[in-house]
Amino acid sequence: MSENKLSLLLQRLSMIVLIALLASAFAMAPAAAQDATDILVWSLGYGGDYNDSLVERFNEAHDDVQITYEDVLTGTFTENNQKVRIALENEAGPHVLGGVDVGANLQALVSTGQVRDLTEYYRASGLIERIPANLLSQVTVEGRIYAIPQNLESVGIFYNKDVFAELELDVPTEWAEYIDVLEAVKDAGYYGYTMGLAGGWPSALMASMFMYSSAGSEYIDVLSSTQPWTDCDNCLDGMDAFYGMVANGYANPEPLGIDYNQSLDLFYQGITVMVLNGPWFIDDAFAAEPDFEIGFFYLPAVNPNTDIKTLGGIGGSLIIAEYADVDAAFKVVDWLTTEETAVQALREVSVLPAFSIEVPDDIDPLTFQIASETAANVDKLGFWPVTYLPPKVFGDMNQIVQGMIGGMLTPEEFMSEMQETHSTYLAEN
Amino acid sequence: MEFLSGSAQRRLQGAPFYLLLTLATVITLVPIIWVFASALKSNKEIRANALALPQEWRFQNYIDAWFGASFDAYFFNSIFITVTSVGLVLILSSLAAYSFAKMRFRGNQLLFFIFLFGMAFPLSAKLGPLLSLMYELNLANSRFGLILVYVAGSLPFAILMLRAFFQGFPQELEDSAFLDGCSRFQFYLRILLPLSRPSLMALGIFVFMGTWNEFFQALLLINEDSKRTLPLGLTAFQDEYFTDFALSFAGINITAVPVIIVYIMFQRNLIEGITVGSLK
Amino acid sequence: MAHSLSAPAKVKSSPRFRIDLMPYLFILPAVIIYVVFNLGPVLASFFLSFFRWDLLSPTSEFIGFNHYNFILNDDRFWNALSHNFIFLGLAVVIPVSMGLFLAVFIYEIRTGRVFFRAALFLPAIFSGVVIAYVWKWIYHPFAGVLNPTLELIGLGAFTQSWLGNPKIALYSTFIAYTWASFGYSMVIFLAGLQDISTDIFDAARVDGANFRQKLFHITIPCLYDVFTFVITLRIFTAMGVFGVIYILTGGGPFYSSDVIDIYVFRMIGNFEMGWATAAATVNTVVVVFLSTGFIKYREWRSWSS
Repeated sequence: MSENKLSLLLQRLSMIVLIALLASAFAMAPAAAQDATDILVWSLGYGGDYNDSLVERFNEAHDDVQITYEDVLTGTFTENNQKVRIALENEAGPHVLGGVDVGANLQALVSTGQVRDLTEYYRASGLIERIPANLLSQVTVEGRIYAIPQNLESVGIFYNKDVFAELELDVPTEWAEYIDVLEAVKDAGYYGYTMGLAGGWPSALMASMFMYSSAGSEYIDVLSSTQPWTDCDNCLDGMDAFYGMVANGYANPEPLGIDYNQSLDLFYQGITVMVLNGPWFIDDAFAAEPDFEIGFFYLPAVNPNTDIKTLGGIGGSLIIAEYADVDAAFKVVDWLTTEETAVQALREVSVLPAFSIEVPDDIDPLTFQIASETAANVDKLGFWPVTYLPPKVFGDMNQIVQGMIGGMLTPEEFMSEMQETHSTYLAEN
Repeated sequence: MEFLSGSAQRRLQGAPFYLLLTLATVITLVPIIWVFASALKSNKEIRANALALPQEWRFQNYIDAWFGASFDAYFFNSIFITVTSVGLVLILSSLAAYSFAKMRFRGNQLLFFIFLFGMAFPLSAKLGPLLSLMYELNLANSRFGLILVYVAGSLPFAILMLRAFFQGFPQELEDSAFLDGCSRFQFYLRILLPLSRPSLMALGIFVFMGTWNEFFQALLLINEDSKRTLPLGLTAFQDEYFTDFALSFAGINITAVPVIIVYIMFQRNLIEGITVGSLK
Repeated sequence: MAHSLSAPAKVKSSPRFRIDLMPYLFILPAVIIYVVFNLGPVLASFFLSFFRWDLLSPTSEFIGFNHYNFILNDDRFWNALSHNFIFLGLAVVIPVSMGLFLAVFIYEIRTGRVFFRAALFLPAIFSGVVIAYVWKWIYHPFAGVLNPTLELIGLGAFTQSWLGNPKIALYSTFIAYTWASFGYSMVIFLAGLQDISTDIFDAARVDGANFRQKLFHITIPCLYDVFTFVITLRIFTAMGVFGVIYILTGGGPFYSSDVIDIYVFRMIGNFEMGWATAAATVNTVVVVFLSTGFIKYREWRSWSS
């Protein structure tokens, strides 16, 4: 009988704990809003503690406008974009949304009529002079400006400086030199190229970067379906180069068995020597405390005649929902686009601002190097090419890239498979 | 074998079963123990040897996950959503099951079959229109909305199970209660519910587990970080912190421990809840 | 479930002739919530599969079977559905037989029944998310625990890229699914065994029946209805498998572990609501056909023998 008594006691106890927990759950509900206008800000980007402190600083500095901040990133980028779209459409979304992908996604948001036209605001606030023309063009839809580029993602190779020194390697500036470096690294028993493609989304991004760096704007034509995949020989060269990372043993084994984040850990451990990544990686890398020094160089273009200098582009943009209180929302945007805020983001979380700023020289050297090189090259900056693919085709592309890396498709077959998927989609829509 | 007593012989016959069961138990539990042990290791230890036990117990991983990665908020959301859902399911399903089991009315069989149909289709069959509906009703991205979806999802099984249980009640009990001037609602409240405590408990635990663990619909319906449940928070957290091995394991454990505790306390009720629906 | 369907309800005879509203009032709250938030969306999904609809615009245009035409001509749909069938084929054999054997073992022992039942059921209580992440770590090719363990016990030849190899990714997800689901079969079988009269087993022992004879001539025939239920449950879970695969592989590499619910989810994520609802409807029809067909077949067989 004592067992029954014990279980009865445990059950009673658990009820008490449960009630206490429920009570505290209710107590945790947000306090009633004050007189100030409440602006709900959603973020699709990483930032965590930094964003919280940013919001705190804004709320302290303003009496009339208060920000409520929510991180909304879960699952894949495509899923997030679509969830945000339906929330905005139903006026159940945020007032200000940060981290929006430009390209096809911004066009889709604009087409539903829920995104405020910011052209007048750009002129009145002088923002139009602070953002480089090629970036501005990416947030312009049919002559009107709809978003404010927040940060730049200038993608390149982060490398293990200690291994480079040990093998007496120089930073490559041309594709042939880059291949030489990969060979030397491989001979020394390391893997040169870090690759983790499980779970989908990195596959299309990584493959796209190689095609872009070989075909340049021709690749954009392919993505915008003005040119068939199968006719783009430069794209095929890029795909061959990407495939070569695996086929020639430059990349770590099991690229399909680990996801992107898991692959980064191989770099931190010193198993792989180079990783294609953007400035957001710096913070992560420092937190992982690798026991070597990290350097950075731009991935040399696969095709030296391509018309782009660097990969990457706008990392995320701000938009304002049509149903938001305009004045209050602009106050938030004003504050987020000050030079002071931008410098702070650069200093604290290595986020490169999209507006031209003076890069302070008292920041960590790696961030400084990338920030100043990006600032110098901002006119030649490309942009995330995959944002031009319809999401359905992007999703399929992830799988098809995996098929090629897994040895089920040759690069040529990859191209025809993409052509088929893309044209089937377009025919149905 | 003659010299062995009967009971000793039987015990020896049981030995292969014990051996096989022990083996199966070890294989089953090792992954769980491994996850718990790993949550107490540092990242370097995990990388160096995935199989080894922790050198020193680092409870800091849990503190980091709880406060640093908003697991406190996820936890309270999960508690609130789960407990409210369980309460609503118990009330609604016991009312309906009483009616189905004990009352004669036109459409009894048909209505019951309509509820049963809810157990047959895959989740994906309702997702699109559900998303649309939740926005129409202003219930998307809301804890209350998620509760309604969970309750609706649990009702078919709950009604099936309680109806089977209530049908087993002797008719005389009800008849004598009515002779004493008891109304049907009073009978339900004063007699049926108290007598059904074990069944309600079993059902409650079963619904608790299902709701606590649900992920698919939460992923679709919840956007904001402050409204995420534990399984949903875990996915967001995994994307962000995956290279922080130790923190990932701590997050997995924070999601799993409450169900383990509930399971240990109410193990009998839970298994009764699962089997009663199948065998009755 | 078959039993609940066929069992006649014991109903109380009403002394009055006018319509008695009370039973309806008792059911009403449950009906409202169930119809609005569960059944309604399912029926809507069926109707909307005949319309052009993208979840955003309210306007929709009737297009008949166009979406079905696309789905049924899409190799990826058949690829995903075939994986559900592979899953189903394995699921009715492996977790079910594991559950049966473990239940029989537990039934055969004297002490420790509660412990073994509780311990072996433990994985079944976890969220699909937790299960998937645990297995993601187990399968991790560099920091995972499976490959080193295989090497440790001399099975180094079997080390694998468990989730990265397109030939076995589906089966790797199936192992995680099995780990989480055999417990259900086990406890249901065990409850079924405990309902069988002990006299039968005692008589068999007196007759000197061995373990295998008891299993095939008593246990399995006596658990006929339990088998029907357990396998029906597997039909539902195998045709609707989602969470474990979504997190472990996302359907990859190269669609090699794609299943219908992932396929549908991908469509919803892309606002291809027409295709999504059509695919979901086809899957629902398959599940209903398989489960009711199976139950009817079992009932027919038990009648005819």
